[in-house]
Formats: sequence, structure tokens, C-alpha cells
Amino acid sequence: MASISIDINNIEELQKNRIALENNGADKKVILLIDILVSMKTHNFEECCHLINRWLSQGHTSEDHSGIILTAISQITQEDDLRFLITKTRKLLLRNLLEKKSLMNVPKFFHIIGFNKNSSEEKISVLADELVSHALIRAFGLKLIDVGLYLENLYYQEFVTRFETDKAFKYGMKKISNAIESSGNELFRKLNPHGVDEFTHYDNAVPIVGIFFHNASMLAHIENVFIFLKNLTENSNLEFAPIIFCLGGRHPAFSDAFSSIGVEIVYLDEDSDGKPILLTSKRLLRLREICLARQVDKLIWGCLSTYMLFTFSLKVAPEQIWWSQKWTGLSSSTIQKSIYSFSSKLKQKINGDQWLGGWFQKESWLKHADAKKIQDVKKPFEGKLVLGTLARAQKMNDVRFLSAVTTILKLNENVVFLWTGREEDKFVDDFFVENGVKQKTKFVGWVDTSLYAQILDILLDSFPSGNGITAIQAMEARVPVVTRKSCGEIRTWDQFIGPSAEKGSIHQRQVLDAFSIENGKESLYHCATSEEEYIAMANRLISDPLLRRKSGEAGEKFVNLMMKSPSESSKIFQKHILSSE
Amino acid sequence: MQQEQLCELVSRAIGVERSSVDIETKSMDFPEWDSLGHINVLMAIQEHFGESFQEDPALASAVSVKELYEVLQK
Repeated sequence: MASISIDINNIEELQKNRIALENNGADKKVILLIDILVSMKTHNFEECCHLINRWLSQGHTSEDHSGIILTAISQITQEDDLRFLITKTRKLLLRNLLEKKSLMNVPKFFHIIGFNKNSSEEKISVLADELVSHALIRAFGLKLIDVGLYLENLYYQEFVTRFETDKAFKYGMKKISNAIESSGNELFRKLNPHGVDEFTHYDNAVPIVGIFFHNASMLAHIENVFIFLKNLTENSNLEFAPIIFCLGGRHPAFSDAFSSIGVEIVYLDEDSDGKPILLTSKRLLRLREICLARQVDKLIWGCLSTYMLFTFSLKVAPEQIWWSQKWTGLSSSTIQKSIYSFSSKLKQKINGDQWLGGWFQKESWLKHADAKKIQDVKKPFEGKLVLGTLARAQKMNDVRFLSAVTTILKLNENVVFLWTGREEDKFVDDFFVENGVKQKTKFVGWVDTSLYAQILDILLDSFPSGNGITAIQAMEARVPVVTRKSCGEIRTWDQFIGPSAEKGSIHQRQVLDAFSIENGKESLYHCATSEEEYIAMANRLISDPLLRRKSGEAGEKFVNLMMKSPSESSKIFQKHILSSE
Repeated sequence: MQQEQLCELVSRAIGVERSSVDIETKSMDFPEWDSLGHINVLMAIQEHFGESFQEDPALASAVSVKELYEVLQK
């Protein structure tokens, strides 16, 4: 039989081929495939679901055919249509994927169906909600633990980081946490069939505290913990014996840093004989094994919460602590203590849960660059006021923020807006083009934020998720910052500064003095409660060099007063870790 | 399962050229043979035999084609 090519976007060709195939008595599977594609492309989704379920109910389906159908599904543009199709075909899709294994491998399946960075936010939301979360629950239910853990990571990377808000994190975790914990609990019962309390005999003179990281790197969250340990070690104030547990990977900066302060690193991707351990579940079991053997009193999860619930459900230590430097929207009985790194309040309720609080401080947030280097980097923008945002694309690509930025650019001549990222985000770039301001913007790539913080004239803090550390760098560099009030899903440094300025805060005087936030005085803290106010504040700073200078000095004063005493913050965090509350 | 079949299965599962995989291939030879790659290998083996090996510790901890082969022969 002559072969036919299938162009899933050419309905006429598909229909012509179908007629020809049927007349020639061709394989019914191919005809069914074409029927599925035609029904999908003509938006007859009721019929399409029926046909897909018929196809899935058959015996072995070829990976090529699966790929064609999944690609066609990934091209559905209407959210409601996609949701309808997925919910009607999900049961058999997941059965074939996870039980019969007759579609293709799991990562390929989710990539082809559109759960990837190239899909719109709407598509990602629908797939996360209606497919990925269900797949995760099913995988754990089938005891496919590593598939479940893989899906937890995928869910976080593609859904939570796309929206980059605690709201998305909380929503996502609520959907999947029960399944993850149940799986961990079940495994725990297998490991401990007689229900023996494995922790009763710990009697360490000095508490042993494990700190878990996913990867060996010196990303900001790891560097913060390193500085915390370094400060305590150097000042002979360390009151516990730390062990770093690393799930996988090697990096000389990581190993050198912790070695330099005498802190042991245990790599979980190899056993005691140095033989590699490939599966994530096995590495987490190894963590448990070592924690029990070494009588680790407290195990701190010092990174993103991926794999945390499963691990904590295995009960690895008498006290399991979540030390979050980002999200707080997760509750679990497996977490005995929660510490938040973005709070001036030592204790507070967040999302109904009790959190201990503190904030990281450094001797300096900037690596000072010499004047010539700053001049060279700034030279292309001579004669213009340099605005900028120093953050990943996921923090920038919110329509509300981009609308504010484009309005500011339209209202002001002689300005340029610098933006950063690992690669030029298409959504952001298209937004600037569509709004006619592209010529006033410049994508500068993945730069040294410490250097770029020093060349900006104004930092436009992103929202709903703020720039974070780079905003502090800008302040230390005397660059005025325009930010948004932290409320609901909006989280900027205001969630630290705002409460610090309130009555009752022990830091109130410092913050009020730094930013001149008092009745009758012009506040130098540019924190907007709305997008309109944000734009107005930016415009005022653009038009008033004196205000820019005073605001920059205020920010620097704030950083000097509250962000440059690492020994203070280290003591606070150590107290939280060791407290019995 | 024959060695040739197993090599073919592993190369497809981790997404590398068939010619680069033989009985002496170890997981550390390919960055693709990481935790996720190993899940794919195990699932491919399951698909071939039509039964679950998910909880087989010997297979789960095998880190080379040779080790996989030896476990499967038992």
C-alpha cells in the first residue's frame, strides 16, 4: 500500500486521504487516526473524545500515532476545548501512559502534549489542573514512586514557576500533596512495620542538624545558608553540628565553600562504596538511612519544596523543618517547624500557620565595580535615563507589570529600559513590540546583577513577584526603587519593609528614619498600592533628579541599618532552629 | 532477553544512538542516564516483559547494562 503523509494542519488533505484509504481497504487504525484529527481540527470535540477513547481502548498503539495525536492536542487554542477534551479522555490516557505503557515515555508525553515552556499560561494551567496533577496522583497510587516524584518536579517547574506566585504554589500543592504524603506514609509503614519510635534513643550533647539541598551549586538560597553557617563558625557561635545533604551533582564552588568552614557534605547520589544511586526515591531513602544512623536531630529542607513532603512522610528526623526562602503556601503535619527568610517578625501567622521569621543579612550585597567598568557598561545608554528590572523572565512576564513599564516608557522620552534573563523571553519582547516601545528597551542577557544595579538610574521592581536580592543591591548602590505594596499574591520587599515600619515593630524607628515616612514629610519609600500609582511614582522620579538622589540615599541608609549585620540574622535563625517551640 | 535487545532498549530509553551502547555501558557514561533516564529504562523493561519491576531493588540499583542483564537473567 502506498504510504501517505499526514499533515495535521491540512484538513482537506486529511479528508482526501481518508477517502482514498477507506476505498483501498487500509488499516483501520490509520483511518481512525485521521478521523480523530479531522474531528479535532473541525472543533467537533464531542466526537473527537469518543474517537480518542476508542483509539486508546485498542491494543498496542504506535508511538508515531500517539505523537501525532498529542501534537494535535497541543495545538488546541481554546482553553475550554482543551479542558473538555482532557477531562473526557484523561482516564484512558493515563491508563495507557502509566499502566499499559503503550503511548510513549512519560517526559516525552507531557512535552508533546504541550506542558512545556512554549505553551501559553492558559494552556499550562489547564494541563496542570486536568492532567499533570491527576497523573501524579495516579502514579503514586500505582506505586510508581519515581514517576510521581518526576511529575512533582515537572509540575513545579512548568506550572508554579510560570506564574511565580505563592498563590500558584499553594494552589498546586493543595492538589497534589495528599497523594505524595500517602505514598511516603505507606513506604514508612513498610520500613517500620512494628511502629517502633526510632528517635527515642537520641541523646546528642550537641544537636546534629542536617540541611538538605537538591543540587550542588552556589545559587542565592545556598549562598545564604553558607553565609549563615560561616558567620556562626567564624564567631565561634555555632551551637549545633551541621551536615549538608546534597541530592545530586557536584560543583567545586559548593564543595570548596562548605569545606572552608569545616562543614561535612554527604552526597546522596552514591552509596557508601561510591556506587551511583540513580533513582530519586533511593536517594531519599539513603537520606533517611544516614539520618537514622547518625542520629540527626533536625533535618532542615533548605530549598524548594520538591520532594519534601515525600521525604518528611518517611520520618527522617525527630524534627523536620521547612526553611523557606520563597513560598509559604504549604501546610503539612510532617513539617514540625516552618521558618521564613523574608520577615522582620520573629513569629507570625501566614496562611493560618505559625511561622518563625528572620531575614538574611550580608556585609555587602554588592561587589563593587570600578568606575571605569561602570562607565563602559553605561556608555551605550549615554544621554538617557536608565530604567531597569534585574530578574528572571518569569518575574517580568506578568501583563500588569509589563503594561506599567510600557506606559512609563510611552510617557517619557530619553529613557531606556534594561531587562535581563537567561534568554530573551518572547512574550516580553512581543509585548514591547506590540506596544510600540521596543526601541526604548534593551535585553542585556544574564548579567552580573551587582554590576548592573550600579548602572541603573531607577529600578522598576517587578510584580506580583519582586526582584528580590537585586532590589537590595540597587538600594545599596543608591539607586531609587519603585515597588508594589505586598498584599495577596503581590510579594516584594515591602513584605519585609512594610511591617517593619508599623507601630509595634522593633525596627519601626529605623525604617521611618531611613525613608522619611512621617506625616508632613515627603516619603522616600516609593511603594505603590496600584499600577496607576506605580506609574505616577516612576514618572516623578524620572522628572526629578533631586528626588532620585534623596530616594537613592534613603534606600542605601535602609540597607546599612537593616541588611548588613549577618551576625544578627545568623543568631536569629540559629535560635529558631534550636528552639523547642 | 538477549544482550542485543537490552542494549537497544536502553539506548531508546535514554535517547542516545544505538551504536554508543553496549554491554559495558555504565550510567555514568551518559548524562542522559540520570534518575529520570533510569525511570525510562525500568519502564521500558516493564513494557517489554509486561510485568512490574518497579519495586525490584536489584533492577532499581543497577547502574550498567551488564548489571541489568545479569539481574534479568535470574
